[in-house]
Amino acid sequence: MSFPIVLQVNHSEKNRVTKDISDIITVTGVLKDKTSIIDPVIIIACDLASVKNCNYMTISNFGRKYFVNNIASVRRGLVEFTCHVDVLSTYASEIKSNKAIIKRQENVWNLYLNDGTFKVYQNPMVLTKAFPSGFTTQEFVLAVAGS
Amino acid sequence: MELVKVTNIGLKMSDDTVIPVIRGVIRDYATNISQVDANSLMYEIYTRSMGMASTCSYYTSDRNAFVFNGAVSGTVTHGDNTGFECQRTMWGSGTRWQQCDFTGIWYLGTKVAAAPVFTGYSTYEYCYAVILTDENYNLIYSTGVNKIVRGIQIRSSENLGITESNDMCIGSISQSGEYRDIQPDWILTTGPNIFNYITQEIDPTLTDPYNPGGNTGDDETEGQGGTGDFDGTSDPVDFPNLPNLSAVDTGFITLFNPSASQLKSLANYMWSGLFDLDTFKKIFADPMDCILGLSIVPVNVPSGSSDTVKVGNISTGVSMTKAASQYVSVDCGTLNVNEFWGAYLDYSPYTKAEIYLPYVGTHPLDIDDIMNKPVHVKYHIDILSGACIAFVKCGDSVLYSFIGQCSSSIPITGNDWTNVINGVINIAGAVGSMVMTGGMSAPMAIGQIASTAVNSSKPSVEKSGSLSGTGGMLGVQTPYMILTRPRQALPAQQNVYTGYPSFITRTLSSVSGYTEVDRIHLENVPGTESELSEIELLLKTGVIF
Repeated sequence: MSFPIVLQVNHSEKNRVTKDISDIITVTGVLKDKTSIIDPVIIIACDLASVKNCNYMTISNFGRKYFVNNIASVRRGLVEFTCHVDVLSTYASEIKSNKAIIKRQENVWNLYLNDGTFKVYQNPMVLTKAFPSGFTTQEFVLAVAGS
Repeated sequence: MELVKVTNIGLKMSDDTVIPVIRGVIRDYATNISQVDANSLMYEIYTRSMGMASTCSYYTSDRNAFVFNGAVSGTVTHGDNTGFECQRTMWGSGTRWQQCDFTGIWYLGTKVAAAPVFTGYSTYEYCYAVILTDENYNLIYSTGVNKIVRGIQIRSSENLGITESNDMCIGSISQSGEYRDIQPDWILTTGPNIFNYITQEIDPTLTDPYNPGGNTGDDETEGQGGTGDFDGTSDPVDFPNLPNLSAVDTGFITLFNPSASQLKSLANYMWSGLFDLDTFKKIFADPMDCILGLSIVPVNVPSGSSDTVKVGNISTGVSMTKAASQYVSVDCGTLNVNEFWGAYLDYSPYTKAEIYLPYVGTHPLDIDDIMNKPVHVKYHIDILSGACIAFVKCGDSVLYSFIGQCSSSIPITGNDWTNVINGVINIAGAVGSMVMTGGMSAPMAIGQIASTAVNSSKPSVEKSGSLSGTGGMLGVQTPYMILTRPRQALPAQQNVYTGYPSFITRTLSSVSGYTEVDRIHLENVPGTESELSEIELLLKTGVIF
């Protein structure tokens, strides 16, 4: 039974959970040999020039999305794609449903927690803050025996 | 119903501010609920009506009705700690007062469990205005109230002079003759689901905030630890009072506060022929034995009466002002030490603090003791000996006390002169030594030094020795603080690339942006084992939601 493979371009960071993807071409075919659904190596009949920028693909029959790690030209009209599953995008909704203890966050943070990633310069600021008042006078004290 | 002390609770207002509340008193106002001032905030209260039927709906300023238990009339619930109990309906007219103690978190649109209070009233009232006080009856918040009379237990027939419709008595008035005072230690226990909206810190009001605990002890049925009293209260320590007993009260010593010209007059008399040595020698051997000391002090000597100086009971004819007291207090005022970043960099060991105190010297302070607190310096001085003590009050407590010497002795005999010079030499010997502490043991990696390493690697240098007596008088006369703060290197949008420290529990769907996870138990992810491991690794190294 044939199934579609969507060859795509990923414009987002690889560690972004929900990616910005644009399609290049959708090809349909059947598997002629066994392949891993985690790290598939798939040979697709297509023009190399049209897929040379492909860095992502979706194989819905495998239920997964993939990074394209390598594109090799087998021969004219035949291109081999070496892929690895993008676990973040594939399981994005399930991941988001989980709770976690967050260690670092872009928007929700507490700066009173110690952070070893902050850098400081070698020349610190030295400030003086004077109190409002001090000793402003001098007077004599004479101690004499008797009353 | 057990009454236990509750802290860290608040009243969440419509603008999301939270007011800490210990107790509140509800003023009932006999008016139709629909006539409630739209701007007033009303809050449901817990009341246990002691067997009386009561209902009503209370409204907030946005007219969201809280209809308790869906009841419209005649429904009373007692002892139910999971929800609000009954309110009261209007009955009749006139003004009725009702005292209710309540506590808990009030969140618009959400009811939170809290224990009920009791009332002994037989009347029915609406709640109209709210007065919230702390346990000392200091007003925290009120609405619809013009006048407050506090802490009185009366019956309705007593006249408190409350005449305005919005006047309020924080006490207890009853039409039925039953009444109870608001007791200072009456704070209601709260249910197990209290959530502190102010912070997400551990809630010390819970009986055991670590519950359910794990089993780490010998007893397999119970967890261990987490049973501290969580008492974070602190007793203030104020400046002490000056001593009551003074040398001037003994009669053995007289302290004068002479002017320079008066001293000259005395000196002239002592060395003149007017001083009858023959008479003096019948009593003393050396007239200078009667002059116990002459010094300069850096304070205004409290003035007493004027008197003639007597040396060995011989009147010199020189008039001087007596010192009214041996002890003097000098208040140097308060300095507020505020955070620079509002972050951990404001605290030890990144920021350091020292304080220079006249007649004492420079001493280190723990920045954690003074940050975000008013720092108040006050001296107590003994003008007879010249001894002084400088108190440093941080917030509401004296945390530091430093002893010094603030008088400069004026030698009037040969022995005096020798003692003064020797004293100065001893002090000078302590000055000028540069004490270097702090680690410079290991070479530091260039360019990759975290903030934690920088300050700890720098030597601590003593900025002054003992500044006593004459040395102190030559020094700076105003205390000042020396703050050493790191200079942060903060790239633009660092939080986007690395995030900032967080350490909270959240559902991942509620966060956005760069996120690093500390701990997660991945559930309901239909991936292979290697995929799950990769997901966990990626979450811990940083992903972008």
